[in-house]
Amino acid sequence: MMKIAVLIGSPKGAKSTSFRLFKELQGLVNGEHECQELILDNPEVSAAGLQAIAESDILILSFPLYFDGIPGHFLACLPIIAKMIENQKHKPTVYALVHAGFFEGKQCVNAIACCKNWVAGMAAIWGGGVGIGAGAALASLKQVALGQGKRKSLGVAFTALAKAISDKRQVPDAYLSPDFPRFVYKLLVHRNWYASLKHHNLKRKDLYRRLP
Amino acid sequence: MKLIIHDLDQEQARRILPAPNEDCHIIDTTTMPKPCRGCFHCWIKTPGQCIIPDAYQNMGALIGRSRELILISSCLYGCESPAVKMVLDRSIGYMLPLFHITRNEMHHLSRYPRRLRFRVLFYGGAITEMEKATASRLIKAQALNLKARFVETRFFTDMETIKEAL
Repeated sequence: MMKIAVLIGSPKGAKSTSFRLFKELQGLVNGEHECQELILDNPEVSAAGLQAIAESDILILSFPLYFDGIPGHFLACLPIIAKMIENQKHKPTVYALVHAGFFEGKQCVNAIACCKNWVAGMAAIWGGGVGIGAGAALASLKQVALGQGKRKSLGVAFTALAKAISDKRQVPDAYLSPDFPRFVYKLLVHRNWYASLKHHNLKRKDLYRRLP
Repeated sequence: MKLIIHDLDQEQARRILPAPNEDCHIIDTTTMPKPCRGCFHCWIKTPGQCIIPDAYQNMGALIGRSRELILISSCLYGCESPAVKMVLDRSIGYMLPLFHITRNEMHHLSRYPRRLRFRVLFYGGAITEMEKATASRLIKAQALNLKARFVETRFFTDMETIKEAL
């Protein structure tokens, strides 16, 4: 049986888009596997977490794009893990799911490159990464089946990644945007922000507030 | 104003950095910043200000007042160090949540009108060529989101030479 450790790098933990996207991917992974999900929402890794990672055949990182890169608290966890994996013979195959608020999944390319450098540094095996544009919007469209309509590209990328995970082999990195127009996404996001402002009793002009 | 964010220890900082004055503000990370919670309150509840009450609460406004932002950081896998990155993650109040399209990519609009110079000085003796290539691309992407008018990424093996680059 294959052992999978999943590192969720969002500070929102099990309520996060990172977690929901992983769950959708997990639904596509074939074969018997034992999966342990670790929420890394601060710059520490527990001893139990390290133990699960040490025993894993496959490591999956799932995290949001923060300031074009890996969130700082999650980045702080990586050398702790690397120090352990460097010293063990058993090397996991590592996959990454990175999602952005921007429309273009391609903007995750540098975060995925950092993950690859981390993997190279500890002599583990890079399995492949997926950069997902408008990740939160795609994760929330649960009524649309993966691989259909607005989630067509997500379904294609996840199917390829899940197959690679099932076979423990490498897949080329993929970057995807949602299958609906960019201007529609922009309008919807802006409308969402304005609604959130109202919820906090603020006006639209407050959004632009400049502090001295 | 010149804003320097660094991860140097106290002794290194004393040797390398200029003394803070009204034209030079220095943010150190000797006390590890609390990480961003991803709540977006700095956009929709307290616009421009992080809700975590610590020394990094007003990073957006500080960057907004700066003509030059300099990061001095070790390089981890082609990224800034976790401490410096956590400060950057806490700085998104500098931007607006609204999007615009530039170079056929979606980016955030800026809250502040000034276009700053963005310089990143990475140090360390064991930075691989792959990490350098990643870091150079990452800093260009960050500069685009900061709406910087100038961007520079440099790598140093000798700490003393950083002093000359400042």
